[in-house]
Amino acid sequence: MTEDRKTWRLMLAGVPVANQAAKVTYVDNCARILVKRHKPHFLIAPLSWVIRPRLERTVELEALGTYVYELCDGKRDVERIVDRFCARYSLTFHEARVLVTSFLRGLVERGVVVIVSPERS
Amino acid sequence: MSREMQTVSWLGISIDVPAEWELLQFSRMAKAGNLAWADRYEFRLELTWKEAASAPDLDRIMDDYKASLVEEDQPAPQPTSWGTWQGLVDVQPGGMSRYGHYEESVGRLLELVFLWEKERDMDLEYAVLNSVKPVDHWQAFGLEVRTPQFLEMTECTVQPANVQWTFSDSKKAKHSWHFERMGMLDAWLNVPLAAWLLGKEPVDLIDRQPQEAQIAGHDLATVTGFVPALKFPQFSKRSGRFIGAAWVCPVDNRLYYASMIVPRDYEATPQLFGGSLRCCPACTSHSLAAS
Repeated sequence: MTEDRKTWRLMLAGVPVANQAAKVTYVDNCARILVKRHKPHFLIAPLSWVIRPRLERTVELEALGTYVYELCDGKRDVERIVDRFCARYSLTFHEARVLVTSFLRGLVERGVVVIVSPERS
Repeated sequence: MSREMQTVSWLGISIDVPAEWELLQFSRMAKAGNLAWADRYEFRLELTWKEAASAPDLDRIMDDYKASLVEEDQPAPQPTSWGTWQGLVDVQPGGMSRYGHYEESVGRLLELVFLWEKERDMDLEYAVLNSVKPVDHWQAFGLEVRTPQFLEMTECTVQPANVQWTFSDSKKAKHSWHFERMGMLDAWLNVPLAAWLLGKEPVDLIDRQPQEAQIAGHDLATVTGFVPALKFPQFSKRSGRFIGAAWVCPVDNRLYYASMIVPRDYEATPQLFGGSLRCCPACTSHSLAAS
């Protein structure tokens, strides 16, 4: 630990921004997000006549996920979202950090949000 | 010093650290291991230990460490001491302070390393060093647990909003004591506490006796009964006593669960609520008043 001073500072300063092209609907207060996907670059005729990938993906969130997703407004950084989450669910900061960041990682992988790094913004 | 502190008691050693520092690394091995705390941005303190039959030559250890830094062309730290602790302190801001001490009562060499963000906080260092003392209970991750000294921690699971500890006399296999602390109840606890406790009972529990009570502002569900002995359970005459209790603490709104399987004739069975497991001052004072 002392040799490698690990820090979460940069990760906490990232700002999650929701995919503006995604369509969001709500079912029982839970978000259902329709995300458009790119057609793979190798899918050209005649291969594309046979393989027809789905060009949309639906991501369904439960109540906790919907709460975090709604906080991804492009203004709050990850640290503020973690603060809100731990206040709402009476968690410690790092309990909430682990939950929120792993959830955000999943959203990023599915194209629902992007994280804007403060160094690049 | 006005800084709010919290106590962590682990493997017979107790230490006070700032309340906002969270324990993020731990090991269960008494022979050698470490605990590490972080503030919200990075690690701030590490406690490491190593079993030693007698007090090692701390001066020589410090000198060797200092010499290794000089060999690597790093600035040599300044020697310092506080009580029985001997240390080396980095001279540059954002460095670290290392202290060593042999804790005779547990037969371990302890090392405390403070990692400073900017300036060294000497008051805090000394407050932490002063607080280190031997104890006979466990306290960390929101759990405060008392078990007989012949039990050792055999499992420790720490996840967000879910901490589980198990203690047992692993070779004799007569005792198994289990403790849990769970959060985010709004998101998952959708049955009454007694019904939730039902799901935690051993499937082969007999002579089952459930009870519900309110003690010191806590709604408590308990169950007792008998289960096959942990060792040689096929011999039906051998059986262990099971006691389980669950409650939601109104202070932190977390669910606490404690259970034990002990030999049928074990006489020193403590109460679980406030005895073996404590969650808040009201819980503790109830226990102290009862004893």
